[in-house]
Amino acid sequence: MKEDNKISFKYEYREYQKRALEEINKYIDDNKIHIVAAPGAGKTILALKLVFDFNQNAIILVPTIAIREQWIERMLNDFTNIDKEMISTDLKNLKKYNVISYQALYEYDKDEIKRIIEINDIHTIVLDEAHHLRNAWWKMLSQIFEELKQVKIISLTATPPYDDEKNFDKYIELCGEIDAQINIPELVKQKNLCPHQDFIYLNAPSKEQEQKINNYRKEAIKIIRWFENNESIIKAIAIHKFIIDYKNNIDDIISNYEIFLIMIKFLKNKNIVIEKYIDEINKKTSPMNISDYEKLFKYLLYNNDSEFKVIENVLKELKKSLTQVGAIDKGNINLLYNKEIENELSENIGKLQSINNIVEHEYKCLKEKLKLVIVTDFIKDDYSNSEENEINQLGVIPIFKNITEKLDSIKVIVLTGTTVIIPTDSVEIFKQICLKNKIKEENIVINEIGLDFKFSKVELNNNSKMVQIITELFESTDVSVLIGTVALIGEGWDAPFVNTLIMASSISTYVTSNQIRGRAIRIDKNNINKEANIWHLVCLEKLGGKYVKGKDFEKIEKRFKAIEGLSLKEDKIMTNINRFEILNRLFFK
Amino acid sequence: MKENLNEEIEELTKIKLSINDIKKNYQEINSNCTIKKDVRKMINILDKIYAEIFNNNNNLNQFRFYGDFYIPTIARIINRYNNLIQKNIKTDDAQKLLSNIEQTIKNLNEHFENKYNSFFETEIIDLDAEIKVLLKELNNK
Repeated sequence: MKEDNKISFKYEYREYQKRALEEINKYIDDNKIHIVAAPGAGKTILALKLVFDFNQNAIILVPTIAIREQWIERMLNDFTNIDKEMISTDLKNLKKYNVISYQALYEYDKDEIKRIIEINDIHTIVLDEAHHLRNAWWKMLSQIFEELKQVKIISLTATPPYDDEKNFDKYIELCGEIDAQINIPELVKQKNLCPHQDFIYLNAPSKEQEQKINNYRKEAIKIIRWFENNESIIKAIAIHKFIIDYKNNIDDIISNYEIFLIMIKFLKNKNIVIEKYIDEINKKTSPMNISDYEKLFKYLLYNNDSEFKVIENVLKELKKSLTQVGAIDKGNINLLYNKEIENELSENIGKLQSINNIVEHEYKCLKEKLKLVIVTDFIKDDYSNSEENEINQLGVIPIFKNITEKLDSIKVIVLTGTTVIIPTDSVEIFKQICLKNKIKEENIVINEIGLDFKFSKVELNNNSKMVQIITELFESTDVSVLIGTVALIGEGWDAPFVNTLIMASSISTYVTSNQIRGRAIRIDKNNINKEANIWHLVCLEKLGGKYVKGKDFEKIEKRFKAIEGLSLKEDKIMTNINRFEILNRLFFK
Repeated sequence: MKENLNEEIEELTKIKLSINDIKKNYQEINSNCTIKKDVRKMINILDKIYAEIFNNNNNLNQFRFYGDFYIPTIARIINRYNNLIQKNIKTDDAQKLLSNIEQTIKNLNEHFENKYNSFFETEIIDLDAEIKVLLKELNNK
């Protein structure tokens, strides 16, 4: 390509982008470039630079249509010598540069995709948010690229699926080892993400929930007592080959070492005489704990160990008892909570009050500058039609109702795939924004809701621009709070003016947690001093009158394993929930 | 109760380990040997006996001494049978011994079947008596 026709980035690369480009050059030999960079790091620009430098026919695969449009906008606005004619979004009609959704790819099989790549002389493929590909596709695409060695693969993600133990190897096989990484603290330092801090808001379960938990645990304890006093079970464990014939079963013991130790613990607690050598293995005898019983039950019921065939009927009884109380969920045993209690804690009604307290506090601090987003898992639309339903669940509509009833001076928007609610006094502005986006009034449906008509439900005949329109409405009016679902705004939603986020979601996976947080920490060109607060909600539990961590806390602990942030006490950037030193607080003592 | 349980476990352990020895020796028997089928049958019966004595302390008491001597001895005999076969000794005495062992296994199988059935004798007798009483009562009505 002649120098004057060369497609170039119009602006200056950021320092970490320059560093990443240098690092990439070192590792390009395997034709796989894997870039991990936090949202806002400019992965798109990096990838486009590589695509244009390679100067070969390219396909860019993206997770959604909204993101597809963002890529095209970047190409046209931020690079020279490129126009719309060079770009296609149609897999059946490819041009030099093509931006296609993963969804479009799923219509084809392996041979068809291979043919498309060969016929169109595609030499560069970009996988944007590569973790989005369905698991089965990682393996298939790996095979295709293995056969088409001339194709360069550029994979981009903010969140490699580290916690997907089953499929992580397949992901790395497809994308290659990570070649360049840009972390959030680096971006904050370079002023490409805004300074931010996480906060954890704790609440306790209601008396009814506490009672429910206690009742469940009483039933679980009954089952444990029955189990540990059942002579057949004791005998079967005492005579298991791991215990009486360990020398001839070393390999099996190693594969089931944890169970082996639990069996020894169980027998020693029942004062059963076991061989001295075995006794020595687990010298300090501690009582069996709940986790030990959970693992032992799971092994007995699901491992098909022929050693326990002799107590088949007893194990059937065990399974029946556990099933009756709801202690078995997809082959896992949980003696502290059943699924119902776990969900109740996650969607704890006390969190509605927590949300209101946070909103009220943040509004006092920021007033009209507050742009707060609440992200939750479900809509729970059953509440929207009835004025009488008592609010007792977490969801978009219950949160909306709770805020608007108790904090009526604060304006709220609801944005989900099926329900959009705006303040009635914003309707005219909404219509103007629609018009600006070429949506005629006859294609807009507006219905006032509630007894006072302060809010209206809005619909468009074609909803593809709804997110964009509502985002603009949120930014440009005096609306302070937007409530949405993880599914719609958890990833890829571009709203840099958001300065406060409440994660009212039970999500604890690395990928989604970081994607949701990414919504709040973008820099805002219109507010260079933006700082963001990210709130996490946790319901503690009570045991014997004292607060204890509990299942909901464990979820947040898992979430924080992958979140980097400022320690409260030291001048350090850390991962892990320990940076808040919660367990040292008085309510745990 | 715990003391009895430990004793029970000790007895069951001996019996189980010696049955396991028979199973190991069974694996080494040449598939051409006629004894293989009979040892397989013995293992099946012993497994049934084991399941029964595991769950019933009275039956364990009846079988208590088998684990100390009888079953380990059977395991050793089968082991020696295998060794003789492998050495391929063709003398008359050796052949006579092998036939003797083969017949012994058959006899032991019969013995173990009877033993297993004896576990249910009391139950059968009691049930039989119960049925007779019931019929008598009905006839009197």
